[in-house]
Amino acid sequence: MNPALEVQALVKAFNAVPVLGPLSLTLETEGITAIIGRSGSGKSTLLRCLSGLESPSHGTVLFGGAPVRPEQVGFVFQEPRLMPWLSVRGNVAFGLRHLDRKARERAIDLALDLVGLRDAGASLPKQLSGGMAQRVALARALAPEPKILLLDEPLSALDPLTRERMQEHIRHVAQNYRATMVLITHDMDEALVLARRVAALQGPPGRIVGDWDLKLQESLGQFSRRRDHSEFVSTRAALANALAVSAAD
Amino acid sequence: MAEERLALGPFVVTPGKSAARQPKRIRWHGGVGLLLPVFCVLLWQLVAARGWVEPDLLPGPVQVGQTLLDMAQDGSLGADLGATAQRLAFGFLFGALAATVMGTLTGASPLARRFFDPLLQALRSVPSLAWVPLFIIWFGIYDTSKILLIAVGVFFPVYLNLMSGIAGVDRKLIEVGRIHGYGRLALMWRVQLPACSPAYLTGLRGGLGLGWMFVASAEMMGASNGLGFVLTNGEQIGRPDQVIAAILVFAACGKITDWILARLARALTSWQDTVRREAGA
Repeated sequence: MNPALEVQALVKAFNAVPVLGPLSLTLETEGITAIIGRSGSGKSTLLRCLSGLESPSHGTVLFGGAPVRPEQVGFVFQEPRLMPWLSVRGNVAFGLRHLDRKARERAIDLALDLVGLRDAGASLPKQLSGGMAQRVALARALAPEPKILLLDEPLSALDPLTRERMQEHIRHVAQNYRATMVLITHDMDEALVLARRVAALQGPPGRIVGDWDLKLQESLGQFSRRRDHSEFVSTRAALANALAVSAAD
Repeated sequence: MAEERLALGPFVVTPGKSAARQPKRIRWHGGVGLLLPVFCVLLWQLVAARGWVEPDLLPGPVQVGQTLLDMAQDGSLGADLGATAQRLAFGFLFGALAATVMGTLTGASPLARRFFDPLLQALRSVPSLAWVPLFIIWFGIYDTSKILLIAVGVFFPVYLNLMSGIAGVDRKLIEVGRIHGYGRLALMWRVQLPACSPAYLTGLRGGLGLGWMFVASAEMMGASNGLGFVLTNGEQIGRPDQVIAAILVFAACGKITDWILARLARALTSWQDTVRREAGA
């Protein structure tokens, strides 16, 4: 069991303007927790605070009772952010400096297998489609085997067909990979299809206004294919209501 | 030939004529770049043959060619070219090295940029010939002062390109490095320097171009050999053919070294996703 990722009284302000918090959240589950909210609600800021890219103005982020260390975190950004001068394998190896060559090659192979890109290892980023590039970014985040995997709207720039395929890859990762995964999205269906827990964020400053635990679903795969499932429909309605109320506020 | 048909679910798509008939690209390559020089030589020959300009002022291309041949045969062309190339090589090396250090420092550190850059920008505005008297006083009339002058010329394009290249590296790529626990040195080595390599190589090309200009200035200010000396010597003894021959050698050498650097830059930055990759050659 992964230790808990705890967000305690987190506040983030830019130039004395609060954009997030105070916010407390404990993420104990393995599998995906989706944070859903409108643009500007502080979703990405929350994720950047969890990753260490931003320092909280107040409060703490702890993993297993200690501050989060960089090697514990994998991050998939909204855009692939691949190093254009590195091949696919070179990009996946980007976070594997600490491994010797043999272990590094094995980790690259495993990560590329997980996203179905083993054969594209020698390609340069300019030769990849948007979906492939984002899968490489996912492989790069997974390769160091992080305990926390943060996904910042990784599907938002993809077309609907590619997005569905990418959702399959993320679901595959969630089912086969033991990490605390946090998915930021503004797409309710995406959140409900992929996540085992959904939290709605209202802001600025971003605060949690709803939290649904979907652990009782039969399984991620079955649930995701049955959008007429009563739990899906009721949770979606509650989520829409929470976000609509947030917007009205 | 069977027509190509693509099945997309219930639809069948036949590629249109515009897709089927892609116009063949006419591959001129470097050939088109030779047209203007050839035209200029022909015009020059015409002017010389018709006597529109006094031969004492503008000798024809045949006479200049003969002068070049004579210089090559008596070994003076090789010796002068070698002396110039040696000065340029040292000047380029020192200038590029200093620019690389300073460009990296000021590009990576805003504090260093605020500290060094205003002075360097002011020095950049100083005309090259203004350095000559000072360098002669400080370092004498021999090669040291010439090499330093060339290094000054090479320094600024390399410095400016590298500094702005490093400072302008996409923040998003740097964040990827930070997420993976990269420190400042690792970020510089693994992210910033590779990302700015196209700008750096452009700076090196610009620096080399200025290096050729500065080596001419340096040798014209007082040398006993080198292509710049051939220029001033030609002026003093009234040999415009010698002057034009030296100018042509400068032009040819500048073009060749730029072409080599452009090819190198092209090979090193083949990862760039640009519309069309030109070697500038």
